[in-house]
Amino acid sequence: MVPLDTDDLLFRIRGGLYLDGILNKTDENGIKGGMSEAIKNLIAKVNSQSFVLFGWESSLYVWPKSHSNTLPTELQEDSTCKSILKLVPIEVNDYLKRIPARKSVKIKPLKVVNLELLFELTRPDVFEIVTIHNDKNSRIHFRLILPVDVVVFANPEDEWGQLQEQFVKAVSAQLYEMDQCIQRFTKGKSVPIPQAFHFELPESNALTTVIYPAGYTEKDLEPLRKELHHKFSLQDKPYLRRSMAYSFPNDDLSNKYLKTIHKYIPSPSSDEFQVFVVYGSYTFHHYLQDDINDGGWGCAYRTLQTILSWYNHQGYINVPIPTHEKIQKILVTAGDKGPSIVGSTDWIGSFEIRSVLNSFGITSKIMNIRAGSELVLAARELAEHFEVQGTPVMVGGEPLAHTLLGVAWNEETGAVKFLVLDAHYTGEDDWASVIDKAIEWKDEDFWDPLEPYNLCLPQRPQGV
Amino acid sequence: MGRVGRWRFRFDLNAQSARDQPSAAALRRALRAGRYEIKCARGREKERNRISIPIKTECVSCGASGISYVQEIKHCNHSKGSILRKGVLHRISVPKQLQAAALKQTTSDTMGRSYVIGEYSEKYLKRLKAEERYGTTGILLGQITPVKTYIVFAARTPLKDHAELPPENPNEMNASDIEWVSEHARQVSRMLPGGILVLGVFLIRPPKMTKEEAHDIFRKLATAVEAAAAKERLWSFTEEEPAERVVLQVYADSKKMKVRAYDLHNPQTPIKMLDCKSSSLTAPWQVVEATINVEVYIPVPASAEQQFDKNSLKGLNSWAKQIMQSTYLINGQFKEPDSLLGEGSKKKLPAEVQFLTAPVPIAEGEVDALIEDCGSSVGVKGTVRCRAYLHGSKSKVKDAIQALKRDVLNTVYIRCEMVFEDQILNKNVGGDSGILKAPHRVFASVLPSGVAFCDYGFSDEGSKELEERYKELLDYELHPAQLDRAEEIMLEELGTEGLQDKDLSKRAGGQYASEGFKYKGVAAAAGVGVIAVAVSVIYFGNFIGESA
Repeated sequence: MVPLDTDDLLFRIRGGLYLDGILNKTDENGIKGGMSEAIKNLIAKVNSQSFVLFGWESSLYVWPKSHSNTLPTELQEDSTCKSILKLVPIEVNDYLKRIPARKSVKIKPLKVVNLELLFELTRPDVFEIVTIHNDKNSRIHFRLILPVDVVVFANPEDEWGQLQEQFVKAVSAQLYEMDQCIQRFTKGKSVPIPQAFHFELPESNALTTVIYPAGYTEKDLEPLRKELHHKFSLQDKPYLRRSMAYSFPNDDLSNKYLKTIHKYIPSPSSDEFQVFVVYGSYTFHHYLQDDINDGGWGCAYRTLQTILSWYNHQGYINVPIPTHEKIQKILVTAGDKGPSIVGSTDWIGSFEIRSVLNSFGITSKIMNIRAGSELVLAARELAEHFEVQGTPVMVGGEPLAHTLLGVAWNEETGAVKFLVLDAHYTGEDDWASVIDKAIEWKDEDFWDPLEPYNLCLPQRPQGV
Repeated sequence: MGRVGRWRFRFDLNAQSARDQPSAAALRRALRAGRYEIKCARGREKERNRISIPIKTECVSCGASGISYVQEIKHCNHSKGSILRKGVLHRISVPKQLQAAALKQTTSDTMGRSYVIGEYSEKYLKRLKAEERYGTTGILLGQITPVKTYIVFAARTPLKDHAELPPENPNEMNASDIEWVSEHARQVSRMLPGGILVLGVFLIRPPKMTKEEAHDIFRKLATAVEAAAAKERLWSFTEEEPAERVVLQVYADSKKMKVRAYDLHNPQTPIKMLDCKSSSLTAPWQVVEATINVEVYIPVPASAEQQFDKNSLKGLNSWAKQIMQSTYLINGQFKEPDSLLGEGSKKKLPAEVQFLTAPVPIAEGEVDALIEDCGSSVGVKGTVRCRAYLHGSKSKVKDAIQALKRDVLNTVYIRCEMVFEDQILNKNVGGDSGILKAPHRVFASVLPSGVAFCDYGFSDEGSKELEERYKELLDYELHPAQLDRAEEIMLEELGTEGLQDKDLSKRAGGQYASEGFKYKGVAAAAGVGVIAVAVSVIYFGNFIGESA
């Protein structure tokens, strides 16, 4: 996982590379061969003097192969990488720094330097006279734009000269992988466009990039993912589904909901507690969000939204987060409630949650707790749920519903803590206030000891 | 009544129409707030001390925005203006400095473009007049800037076959005469570097011609000449660029030269008759240059009638678009488009430009590569040297870059055209698969300001053909020392010459040497008449001039 407090710089090189050419053969192998040839030429171009990197919104152009740039007084071969921070605006989520320190883990937001990939048209290695060539054997014209997206991690103290070599190598490597993708997935005359996705993997501090062909469903790509899981020695949990791709700072900043906020607060100390938390990402839904005034009655709906967001983010479904009204309509269609619920402020409970999840193809278990004081006894089962399923849990009590994201228990003392995401939060969606008020490890006394609770435990589908 | 409040201005110098109106409600609100006067005035006419400048303004109090016609009242520090809207006005106040900027921008529209004629052209036209070559037409070459048009060169239309003279009275010009003048313009437009255009035609007016005559012919000439030049382009003018082309008349009985300007986009606009100012125009012009690699593959559908002819060149359009969108560096540095090219300094060093591919937007939702069938393909590959000239020291980076990019398109297109014309000439239509060489570009610095024209030829050709062409098309005596064989030099230093010998055998008929300039054949293909390569001009009648 990319650590939350990292000094590293992330250089992200992006660009659309035109692949445009003519082939003489029309069969599948001919097309594959032609693509391969074209990509090989592109790699050669990347390794030549006409490869240029441009810092977004800056006046810095860099020629990595010839080690020159447009601001030579500021950026020399032996300058450290951090000198580039003065020349190019960085992408960083500064709001994270405002999270109150007493409640958060140590955060040093990741700094991303965005570079655009270009080619120079005016640096011919060779001067040739203009010729016109008529080829009567041409049969196929192909054109596609390769969406190159390369990430290179660097320490700020690294030398700039070295880094340029790395850029060239990284881009060439990605082009090679894109070629492999085309070779594998081209069928007949249909050539899918290879797309790059970056993932966080448990053992690595950097991002891992995987190339997937466009136009394939997650189901179709499962065999490929299984191979990759084997290659990276990953567990049998989803890591490489495309919707799980890493969110860069600008993605976070432009998303109106906050994502996976529990990672910003420290877990109970691992010396004493065994900690089990929700797996993967979700977005936080709470009262008054989206200008819907559901204060006092909408908490279960909001928890349901959070749960559905989990399934969206892990790529099991791809639906817009339903509004309260939509949820009510689904319940009517499922036969669970009468039509009068639509547009009302009626509460719903864990059974309704299960029903709605069902309509999206998600199964869930209901756990019944007779009294809040007995919730600790369920801790083991909850731990197993988070371990195996990893989905957020809806805890439905008579007055209130909560989103449960984790449990931690102390073997020795038998104390249990619950990671609760508060759907009753009514403030703004910004990191500082949300983390301050809406997420916390609560003690057992958080639950009302006398009230019964019904828990809905959504199940994760099999496979990766 | 209300007093003038403080206003915030947003200057939109391209504001065109008074169609942006604040709502009636907004205006009523403003009135109720007691801040404005009601007035009914529309300030558009030019009064002696008042010039109306349309600017977009916004009221800080009520938010009403619209176009104001600001009137400059010279004795104030501020100029007062008013927004005309349904009889209700806001009074506004524009500080003089801001108003000056607006004034400058619109001067060209309100006051008309001015024309400057350079020393060379003036002398040339005066000479023709002195030789009493009445009825002679010719073309004018120069540069159009936002405010002025500079005429740098003039060249008379070559005589038709049989050295037939043009009619003395332009009223008597017929369609074939007009076509002849346009064909000349088309050929000359191939010789122009970036930044220099065919501006129109000139005429040596016969003494007895009345003012009313030949209006029709003039307009036809101006339009035909522009249309002919446009045939050689892969690009078109943007909407902001003025579409004025001219007919310059040299009066037999006076020293005057009058310019008749036609707006080709709006034929309804009245024709302006303007004076031509003289200026030497011998100060050096700013040069921008670039060496650019071309590699384009154009698929030809199997259903196309001809697999290998001029129509294939339409496939260059998408390449042309990419070039026009490419980003650039000047002398290795990034420069803002609106900054001055020379950074205001008087020294004019040639600037080397680098072009970079424009960032390509990644098309969302695209899933598969485009795979289409074709019957054959045409590939254009090679390196070209491009050049553009800019007048003065106030030219902007974006204008220079646009001129240079257009030159890139021109030179590649013209070379390809010449190859195809050559094929037709050698009756090699629909020829076999092969690699055909296109000619080099050779520059020749013709004017004291350094502005060079260019021509195309093969490296083994001597300068004799070039001299003949310059004499014929530009009426200019070229000296071999003026030739600048930039491309050939670069080819020697950096290039691959391997293809040359192989190709000789491929060219049909062995008519290799004088191919590039065989404009006889070109004119035949265009169906116009023949322009002889070697021209000997003999003037008949009462003229004193002798044979050349």
